[in-house]
Amino acid sequence: MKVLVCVKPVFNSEVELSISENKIVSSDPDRVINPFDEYAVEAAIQLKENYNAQITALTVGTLEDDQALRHALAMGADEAVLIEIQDRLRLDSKSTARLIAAFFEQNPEFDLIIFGRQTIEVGSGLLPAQFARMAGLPFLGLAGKIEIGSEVEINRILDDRILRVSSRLPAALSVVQSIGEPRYPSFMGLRKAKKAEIPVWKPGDDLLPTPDVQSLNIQSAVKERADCVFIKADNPRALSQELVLRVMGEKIL
Amino acid sequence: MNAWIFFQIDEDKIHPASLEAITPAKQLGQVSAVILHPQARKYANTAFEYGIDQVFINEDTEFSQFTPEVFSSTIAAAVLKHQAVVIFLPSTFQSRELAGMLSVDLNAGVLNDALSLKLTDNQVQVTRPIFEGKLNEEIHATSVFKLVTVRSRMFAMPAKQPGKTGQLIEIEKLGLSETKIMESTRTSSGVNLANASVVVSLGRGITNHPAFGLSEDETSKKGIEMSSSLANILNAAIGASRAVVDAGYLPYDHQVGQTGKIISPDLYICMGISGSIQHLVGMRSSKIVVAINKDPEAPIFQSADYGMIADLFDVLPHLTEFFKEALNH
Repeated sequence: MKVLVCVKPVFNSEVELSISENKIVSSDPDRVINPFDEYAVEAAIQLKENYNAQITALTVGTLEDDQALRHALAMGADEAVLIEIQDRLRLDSKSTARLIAAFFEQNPEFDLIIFGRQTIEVGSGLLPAQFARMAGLPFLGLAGKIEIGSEVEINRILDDRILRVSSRLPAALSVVQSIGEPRYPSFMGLRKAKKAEIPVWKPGDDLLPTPDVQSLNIQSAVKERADCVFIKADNPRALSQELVLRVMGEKIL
Repeated sequence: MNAWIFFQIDEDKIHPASLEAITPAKQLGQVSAVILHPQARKYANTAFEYGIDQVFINEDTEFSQFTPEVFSSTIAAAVLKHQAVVIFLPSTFQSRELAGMLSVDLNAGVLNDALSLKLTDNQVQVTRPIFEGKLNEEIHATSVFKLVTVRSRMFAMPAKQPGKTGQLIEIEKLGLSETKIMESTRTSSGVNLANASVVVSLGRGITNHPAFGLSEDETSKKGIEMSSSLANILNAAIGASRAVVDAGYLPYDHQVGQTGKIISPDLYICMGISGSIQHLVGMRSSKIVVAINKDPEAPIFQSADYGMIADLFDVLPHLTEFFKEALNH
């Protein structure tokens, strides 16, 4: 069976972002695999271990946007493909879904198309369902465990319950943390990934991103919190009493 | 501009973000709700009481389970027929799936995770957090139909008008789902983290207390037990850092932070959490943050209003006692 796992490079969480002429400037231009996509790759590799799946990692971006693909290769993906676009900034989730759906139409041999739950950038979490809808595939969302028989069965992890859900293959999935902690790339994996040739798939002009949401203004959002007031007392009991007094004084309880 | 709100029904409850969405939706004009559930009429009565005049319903038994494909086909057709323009949905994991499908079915732009909403020149403008809340972006949609998703606790709950009624309109069920739900197992019955106004959150500190002489597993169990007593008194949900859920001490749905939940309670009490950036992005919009950590250098104190340098095990029983007293339990 063949698995397509979709990944995206993002700015590391640790970077500081500022705004210059309504554009985002990062303190570190390097990008890493979207943390949610690491779980998707982990899920794919488990399928490789359990069902001998062949894994292709896919990204949409410019020719420089290969970081997440190389990370997936280092973790154990067999091959990679980059859907090339010229302007990353115009890429919204629906345009991304359309591009991946077009790729899948031309490469229909995949049994599962796996996504992370969301990115840490816009983080709308829309892409997996948008792709499934456009590609006309059954959609299994929030998978924490994946099993393959004549059908695919997952544990769908919701806040207060777990559902057992199945569908035919091929199907689209989004993956959550319960799949298990993503493995670290091995030394051999990293070497292989560094040298790997990444094929490029060029979409037709009719597939150019056409975002229907436009940015009007971007601003820094991090509010400075006033300095922390440290509670001081001689013993745990007195500390606790003082803290409770302070919290009650905030009139939020 | 006709606005609809998708009412997400979970285990016999209307998701609070659906009710809170009434507040921004009213800025646009007439607000209706759409409820797909075998007991839709019952929930429609609640919608009326919260100020909605018109509810579109279908009571097919299949709607006892959420299948985004069927929900999307049904709602998209009704939106076209009844000429709604803006559709609000809770920004929950389930409703985001519906928003994704509706955005395709209606060719609609999605204004996601609205922090605020305004109408300028008859255009819906939404401010959303991006890059894990580091930036706020003001956006608008150029599409005919627009979807707006809202997180819990971002907009005020509208006032309830007991006894108020309204109009019910039946809509047709459409679409097929190719997925089968075979089994459903309840995993928790506690306070929902995303909707909670108070959260008690646990980090690595719960795994270790030298005086107990217990293993990490046993210490954590004890720590969770003691924190649950405090959480009960405060009617709080229990949160956790990634370290705690990765170690298996609490299920993943308790995780606050980058790959967990992003929450903004009125009171966030974090104990034994050092405060990595991945954790901070999940809680920094909390109103009041209390940090308890035995390491005075822990970065969490830079994001806290009140700090206490102490071992959580030493203060937990006292905190529980004093909060209990203060709240007259």
